[in-house]
Formats: sequence, C-alpha cells, structure tokens
Amino acid sequence: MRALGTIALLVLGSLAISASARAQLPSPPDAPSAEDVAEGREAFIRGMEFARERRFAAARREFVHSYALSGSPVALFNLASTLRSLEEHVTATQAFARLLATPQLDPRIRSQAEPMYREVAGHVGRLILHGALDGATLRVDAGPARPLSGDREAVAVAPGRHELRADRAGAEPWTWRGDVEAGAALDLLVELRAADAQPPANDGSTDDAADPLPLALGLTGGALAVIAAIVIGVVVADSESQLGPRTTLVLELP
Amino acid sequence: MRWAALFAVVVAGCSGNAIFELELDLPPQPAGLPPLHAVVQVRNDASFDADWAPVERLEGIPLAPDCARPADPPPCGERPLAPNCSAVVSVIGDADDLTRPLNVRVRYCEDPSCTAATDATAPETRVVVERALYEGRYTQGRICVDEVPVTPSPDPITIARCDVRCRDGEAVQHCRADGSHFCEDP
Repeated sequence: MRALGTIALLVLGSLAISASARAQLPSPPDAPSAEDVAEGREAFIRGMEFARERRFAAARREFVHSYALSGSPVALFNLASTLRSLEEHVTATQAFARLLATPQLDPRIRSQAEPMYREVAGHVGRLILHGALDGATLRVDAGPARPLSGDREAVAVAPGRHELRADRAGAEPWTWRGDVEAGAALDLLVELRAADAQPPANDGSTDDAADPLPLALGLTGGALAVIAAIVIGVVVADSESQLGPRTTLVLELP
Repeated sequence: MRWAALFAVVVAGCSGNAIFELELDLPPQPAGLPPLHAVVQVRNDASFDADWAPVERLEGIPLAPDCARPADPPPCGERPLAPNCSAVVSVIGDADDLTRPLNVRVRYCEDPSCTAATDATAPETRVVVERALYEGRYTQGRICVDEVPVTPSPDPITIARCDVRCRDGEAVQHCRADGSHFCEDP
C-alpha cells in the first residue's frame, strides 16, 4: 500500500528525457521468496528516490531489480513509467502491455497505466503474430531468439523497416520483411510448414481459373499467406488508428 | 485483379475518426436553489428546436457552490480550469460529421439525468461550434458559463472555426493567414 501511495509522485515526476540505454524487460519470478520480496521492496524504494531526483536511468535499474525479484505489479508500473520517461518506447509498451494483462490489477494502477500505455504505443509499431506458435522461436532484426507460444503474440518494434524470422525444429523458417509506422499494428500469419511439405496444389476451381493473377505471379502457398497477412494488416492498422478519447466524459455523435 | 480490388476496398474504407474536446467552465451552484447538475448533449443533425429527448446525454455534473468567479474574471481562454468547476467532454465523430456545425446543449437540471418534472423547463446554455472535427485530429474548444442562465431557450454561443484549437496550431490564432485551419493540410 505504501508503494501504491507513491505512484503519483513518480508519474508527476516522469517528464520525458532522452537516453540511449535500453532496458530488457525481466521475467517475473514464479514464486518469490519472502527474502526476495523484501529485497525487491528495498530496490523499489531506492528507485523511487532516484525518480524523485530525476535520475531515471538509475531508477530504471532499481525497478528492473525490484520487479525481477518480486514480480510486483507496482514495480512493473513504475518500471514502465520510468521507461516512458526515458523514451524507451518499445520496452515501455511491452511493460505496460504486460501490466495491463495482469488479472485483477488494482484499478488505481490500471486507470493510470491505460492512458500512458496508449501514449507510448503511439510511438511504436506492433506486429501481431498469428498461427500455431508453440515451440517456435522468433528473431527480430537478427536479434536474439525468443520463444513463442499460443496462437497470438504481439511484438512491439520501433517505427521503420524490420525483418522477422520464426523457426521451429523440422519446419521451414518463416520470414517477413516490411515497414511499420508509429502507432500502426500489422497482423501477420506465421506458417511454419514441415520441411518436406509440398505447397498446396491449385485445385483449378473456376474462381481461380478466372483470376490468373496468383498463378501468373508464380506465388506459392506461403507467399499467398504473406499477402493475406499484409491485407489483414491494413485492416487492423486502420481500426487501431482510430483516435481514442482522452477524457472520461465521452459522447458519440448520433 | 482480385487481390488489387480487395486492397482498394480496404484502403477506401480507411476513414479515421475525429475527437473534439469541449472544455466547459461551469457556473457555481446558485444559492437558494436545489442542487443542479450540468447535463450535456451534442448533435449535428438537427437544430436546437428539434426533439432532443432521444439524444444521448451524459450523467449530470454537479455544480459546486465554491466556483464563484471574481468580479472581473479572466478571458475564457486564459483562465485555468478548476477540477471541481469544469469538465472536458470528448465528442467523437467520423468522416460524415466533419463539416457539420456541432450543436451543444448544457442543461442545468435538478435530476442528474434531467428527467425530473421541474427539468422540463430547465435553463440551459447552447453552443454552436462552426467546425469542431478534423479527421484524425484532436481539437479543443472552450466555453465559460459564469452564472446559470435564466432561460431554457437562450441564443447560442458560437465557437468560430478559427477558435477551435488544434494540437498543431498556435495559441491565439488557429487559422493560417489564408484562412485555412491548422488542422487542415496546407
């Protein structure tokens, strides 16, 4: 509760500054020990002191440590806020997204985090990966591989051109290369076909026969999926480019 | 052609919305009257003489007794908005709403939903915003009501097109020298 009471201080003090350092978002512990929680609390308090002094890089280090030890949503909120202050928009977006996905998140934290998330998300692009992702790994711009799971994962990236590569043992790698604008979201269909799988044969239906373009372009099934993903991405980017109200009082015109 | 056509349809559907943030500097609760609530409605498809009963309304905002203005209050655009004496309402429109004047009613009702019998003739403030919305933009306009009006059908206050603020505009003048609005592409 004491930590919650200090949230506002950090938020008020978190004016934007620039920094080149990048933070990695740590994973929370599964079952933190009492000792770890206590140490995490001490790190949190140190982070607050640094934040009050506007030493945000030092504050980030302490909040990373605090969250990694305790898994506390409060520590994650302050870490996300500090990343926002450091203009580390990609990591801040990831941190706020993780925080807001926390079940039964304290409403006071949620109400403060949601507008901050919308703000930082406006500075980054998002790639939404769909497909059977279990067991696969993803590399963004030839960076380190990160595990994927489930059937949907979101990846925040800086605006600009990026290259993704997903791999799974025994499957052909999936790659995507393209541009993402700030605030946009692109849905991508990740298809990891078995290495010996054949592309689906054209069934010669009337519809396809009447539309020779795909065959004329020599597109494989995988390439078609990429095009489909791009088209889906346009739709999603549009729907998410809608402005959201910044006040609690909202009226929609009839 | 099918892929190209699909793409074209998708792009053609990319009409963004627009949000006008109406800043209301509310009057103080008049002494000697039952507690009043400011109930806000907006529309752009009919005049003030039309039936507004079906139009969405916000839950009334209670007027605070300690919002009295000084004898010579600062100009509306320059005064700070006290949290307990003001409200900011986001009005959301889409591409079809951009060029229509926006009509705003602020009724001062005893019931927060403005449904009490006495609210049928509740006094109100009327505002016409010449142009409030620009696609893909947040805009702002302000009205200051220093006292609860005495009539249910006052002449409307007009917020001129160039008084609507745009985040990219300047503080005093929100239109360029050629008359175009800062919210419009030059």
